Amino acid sequence: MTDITNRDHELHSRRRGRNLAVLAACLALIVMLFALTVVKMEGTVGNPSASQAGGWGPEDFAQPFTARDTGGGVPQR
Amino acid sequence: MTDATQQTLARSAAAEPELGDFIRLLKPRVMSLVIFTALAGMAAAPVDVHAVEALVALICIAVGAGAAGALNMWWDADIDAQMSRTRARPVPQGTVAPEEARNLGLGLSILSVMMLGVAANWLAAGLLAFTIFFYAVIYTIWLKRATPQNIVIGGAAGAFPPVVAWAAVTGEVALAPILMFAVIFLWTPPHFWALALWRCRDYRDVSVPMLPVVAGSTETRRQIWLYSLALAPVTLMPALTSAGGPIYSVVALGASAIFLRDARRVALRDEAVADADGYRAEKRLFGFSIVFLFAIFAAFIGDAALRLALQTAGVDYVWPIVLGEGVL
Repeated sequence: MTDITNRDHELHSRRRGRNLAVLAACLALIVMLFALTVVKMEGTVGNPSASQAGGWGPEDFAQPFTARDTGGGVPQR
Repeated sequence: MTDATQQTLARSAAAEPELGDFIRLLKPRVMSLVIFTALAGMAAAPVDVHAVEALVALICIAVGAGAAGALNMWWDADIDAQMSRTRARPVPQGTVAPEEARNLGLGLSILSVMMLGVAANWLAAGLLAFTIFFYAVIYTIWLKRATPQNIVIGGAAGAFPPVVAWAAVTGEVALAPILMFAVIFLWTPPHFWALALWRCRDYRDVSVPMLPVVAGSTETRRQIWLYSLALAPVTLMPALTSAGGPIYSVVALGASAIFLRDARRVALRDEAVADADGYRAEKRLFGFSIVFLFAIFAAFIGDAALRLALQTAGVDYVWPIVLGEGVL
């Protein structure tokens, strides 16, 4: 009976260890994505010329999608 | 509690993998080598990159390598169980189910490639995806059990990390990372064949057509020598690029000379002599080959650090670049 309890305990501690590792991995991923976002946004937020050079910026979303997509004209088929 | 319940619990406890089992699936020793060579590729690249972006790219490359390792362990579980070197791996041991290894490998492959694409660029992500595909499918599934040139082809997968790292920080592929690729590619056959010479029986038992099994010891020794001869000049070539420098030149020259000496020693022996002294020369070559690769890539990092230190100190430092940095 004691053996079974020990085994049960061992089983749960292994699962707990794994679950904590998954939690740590998820947190690490979140921190990594956050840090990456901060670094990527540096120099573009509040600096329209930087966003023009590097691709999309907030001002791109101010105009209608079709106009942006077709250079201002009517969408062509 | 019934006997049946006790047996079930005992079985499930044995089959309940620990965190360490999953880490072993990712081949941490191979990962450390990948991290090191990728770091050298990054350090040698002539660009300034934000530390966070570099770190994330490095993690992605390492995780991608680990994912390829897990896929390799999933596919090779049957032969791993029969070889003394690999018998203790988590899948043949029964601590991790094959499907779990496969799912972990696939999941981490997708995650690492997508993350590298977002963090760095899609050229680097594409190269990482190709590397994983090359190692897991072309090498492990297709060629490993089909041709004695398996190690030569598999070596290409291990040679990609510095190229991926260079592409991650520069957005392009140049001559220097291609030479780094060539060094690892030509280093792999003598490194593994030296090991295979004294592990020949293991490979024969599981019908993996390693060169010593298929072509014999004499031909393997000859091939070790030929690849070592090709490796030496290729190792010296990066010294003439922007990635080279005085540290690299000295280390490459010294390490290549020792490698050639050890390889020549192996090439001149026969099986009877090797068997009599417990494969001493072969083990020495195998051991030194690890030191060789470490020294070569540490020298790239050393020269990068030297360039940075001199630049910070305001010293005008010019290294003669004979081989131009043509972007490919």
